[in-house]
Amino acid sequence: MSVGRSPEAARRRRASRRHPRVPRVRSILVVLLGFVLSGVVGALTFFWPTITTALGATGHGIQVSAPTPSTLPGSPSATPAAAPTSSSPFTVLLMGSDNDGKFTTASGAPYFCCAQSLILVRVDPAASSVTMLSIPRDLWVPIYSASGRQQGDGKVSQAFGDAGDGTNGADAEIATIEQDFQVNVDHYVWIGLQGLINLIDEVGGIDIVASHPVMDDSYPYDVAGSTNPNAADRVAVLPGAEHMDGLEALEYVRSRHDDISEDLGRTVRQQQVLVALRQKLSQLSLGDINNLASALSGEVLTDVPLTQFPLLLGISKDIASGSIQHVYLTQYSGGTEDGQDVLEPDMSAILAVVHQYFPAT
Amino acid sequence: MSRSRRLLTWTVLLVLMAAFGAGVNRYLASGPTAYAPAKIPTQADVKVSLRGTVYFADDGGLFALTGTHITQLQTEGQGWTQPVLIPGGAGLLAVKVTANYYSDLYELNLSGRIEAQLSHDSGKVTATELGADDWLYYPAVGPGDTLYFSYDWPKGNVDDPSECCYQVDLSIWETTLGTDITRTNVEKGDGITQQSWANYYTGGDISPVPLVDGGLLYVDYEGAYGNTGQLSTPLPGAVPGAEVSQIRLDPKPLYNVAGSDGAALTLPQDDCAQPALNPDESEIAMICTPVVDGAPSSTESDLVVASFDAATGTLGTLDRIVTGTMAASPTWSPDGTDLIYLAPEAGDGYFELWSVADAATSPAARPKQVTTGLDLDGSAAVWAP
Repeated sequence: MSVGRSPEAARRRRASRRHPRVPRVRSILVVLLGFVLSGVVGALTFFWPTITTALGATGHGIQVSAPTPSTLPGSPSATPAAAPTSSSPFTVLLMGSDNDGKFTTASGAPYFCCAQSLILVRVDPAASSVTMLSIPRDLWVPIYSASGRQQGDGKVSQAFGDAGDGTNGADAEIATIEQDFQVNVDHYVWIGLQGLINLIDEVGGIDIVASHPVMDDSYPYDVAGSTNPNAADRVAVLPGAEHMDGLEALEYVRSRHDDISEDLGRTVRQQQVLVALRQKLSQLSLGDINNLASALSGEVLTDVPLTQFPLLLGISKDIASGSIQHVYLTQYSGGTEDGQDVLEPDMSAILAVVHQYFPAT
Repeated sequence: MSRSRRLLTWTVLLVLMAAFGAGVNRYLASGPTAYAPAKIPTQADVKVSLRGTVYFADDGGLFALTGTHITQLQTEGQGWTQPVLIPGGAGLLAVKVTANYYSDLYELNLSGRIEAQLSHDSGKVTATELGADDWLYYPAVGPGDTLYFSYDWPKGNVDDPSECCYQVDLSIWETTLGTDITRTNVEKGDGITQQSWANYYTGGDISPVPLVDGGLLYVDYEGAYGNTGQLSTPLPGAVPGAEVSQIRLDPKPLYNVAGSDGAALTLPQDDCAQPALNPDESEIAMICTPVVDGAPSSTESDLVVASFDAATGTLGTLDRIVTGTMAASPTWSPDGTDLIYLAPEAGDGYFELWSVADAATSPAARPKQVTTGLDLDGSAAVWAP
C-alpha cells in the first residue's frame, strides 16, 4: 500500500487542492531566486579580476605609514575618505611618478623620489565643469608630513618620496598640498609610468594634435624593457595629428629637455593627454572592464571608494572636453636652494589664482 | 506529483540555473569592446570619392587612394611618414623613421618601390652615443630640383657627454635632389647649406614650402614671451613661456646669412603652422590654435585659409573654415579648389581624412568625411592629378 492512499495523505491532497497557490508561488519564487543567484554568481565570476584589482587599488586613505622596501609609497588606512555625492563639487589630486623603485637608498631600499606630476582637479557635476590646475613639481615650499607637521622646505613634489618625520607617499603629498595651497583634497589618484602606458594601450591609444615639436636626446629610457635606470633615448614628436600608444604618450608628457617652457611645457602636454584619455574612457563598455583592471593592476592607487566609480564614469561622460578649464601656475622665478635648481613661488599671487578655482580652507 | 518526478524537476531546474549563470558569465565575456582596433587602410571604408590620387602615410606604411580604392605601397609598421611628390609627378620622397634613433629620406616610384636612399642618418656606434644619430624630416622639392628639409644639426654640446643632447632643434637645410645627405656632408657644407637658424630649445624650424620664384615659406617656434626676454606685446591669454608658431617667408633663402629669419606672415598670437600652398600660390591653408576661455586651446585646432601675395609677401585675412575640432595637415587639390585634411571621427576619436570643396571661397562648403575606421597620424597627404 502506498503512503498516498492513507487517509492522512488523502486529507493533505484535498487540502492542497483547496489552497494550491501558496506552495506553487513559493516554488516559483524559489526557482526565480535560484536563477537570480546563479546569474549573480556568473557575473561575479566574470568580474572577479576587476574586483580583486579594484579592492587592491581603492580605499586607500589619508593616514600613511612609512613604506617598506617591498611596497610603494602610500598604503591603506583605516580612515576612508568621504565619498562624493552625485551633485556636490569635489577636488581630486592626480599624481604621476616612477613606481619601479629603480633608484635605491644608501641602505639598498627602493627610493621613490617624488610625484613628478601634480594636478589638482575640481569637478562640479551640477555645473558639468572641470578645472585642472597643474602644480610645478620644482616649486620650493614648506613640506608637511602625513600627520600635517611641517618638516622644512623642499620641492613640492618631494613629500611623496620623503616628507621627513618618517612619512611619505600620497598622504604626505596631500598634506603638503593642502597646507601650502590652503585647499581641501577630497580624493587622490596615483598612477605609475607603466600604469599610464598600460591604460592608454588598453583604450586603443589616444589622439591629439601636437602644437610644436617635442625633441629630446636625453629622454630617460627606464621603461619598455630597459634595465638601466640611467639609459637615454631619443624622442621626436612633430606638430600635427598624432595617434599615440602608451609609450609614445608617456614620452610626449615626460620629455622636457628641449622645451623652452621647461616643466611648464610638459604640464600643458600632461593636461592635453588627460583630456584625450578622458574622451576614450568615456566610451568604456562592459567588455573592456576586466582588461582595463588587469592593465592597471598594481599601477594605480586611489582613495576613491569602489562604489563611486560608476558615478565618476557617469560624470566623465557628461562633461564635454570644451567644458574643461586648464590652469597653469606661472607666478614664480628661478632660483637655487640646497644646490638644486628650484622655482621660488610668489605665494600670494599663486594663492589668488588657486582660490579662483578651488575653495580656500 | 511523485517524489521521483519532483526530484527530476528540481534537478532539471538546478541544471538550468547553472546554465543560466554560465550564460550570464559568457554573455558578459562576449560583450563588445569600445576600443576596436583601427583598420588597415586597405580594409577601410571610403565614403567620398576624390579626383586624382591621394598618397598618405598611416601606421608607418604608405598608401595610395584612387577613387574609393586604397592600394598599399609600403606595409605598415616600418616608420614611413611625410610623403611628398617629386615635381612632375615622377615619384615620391618619403621619410622612414627608426623610432627613438634616426630618420632617413628615400625616393620611391609611384608603386612604392624604393629607388634610392638619399640620407644616412645613423651615426651611432654604441647605445650611449645618441648625439651621433640625426633626424631628417619635412622634405620638399622646389625649382631646379632644390631639396629642402629639416635636420637636427647643429646640436648643442654634442661633443660634451656631460652636457650633451638637451638642445635638439631642427633647422632648414638646402641641397640638390640626389646629393648624399650625411652628418659629415652637413658639417662640411659639402653641397648642403643651412637656410634657417632655429630658436634654441623650441624644437626648431619645420615645414619648408618652396615658392616658384625661389622664396621659401616655413614655420618657426618661439616662446610666447620671446626666447631671451619679453615680447614687446605679451600674447593675450598665452601662458608665459609657452611656445607659439609663426609662418615666415624668406624671399631669398639662397643668399641668407646666419641668423636671418625671414618675415613673419602670421602673428604669434595666431599660433599658425602646417602651411599648404595652392598650385598658383594665391592661397595658403594652415592650422592655427584658437583661444578658448582666454587661453590657447590644447584640444582644438582650426583649419584656416588666407589669400597670399608672394610678390609683396603679404597674407590676407585669416578665414577659419573648420573650427571646433582638431584639424591638422591640410593639402590642396591639384587644381587648387578643394582641401583635404585630418580630423577626428565622432565617437572613437580616430583621425580620418576629410575634404572641403571650394575651400578658398567664402563661405567654404561643409566638410565631408572621406575615410572611416582608420587612425591616420602625423603627416599631410599628397594629392596628385
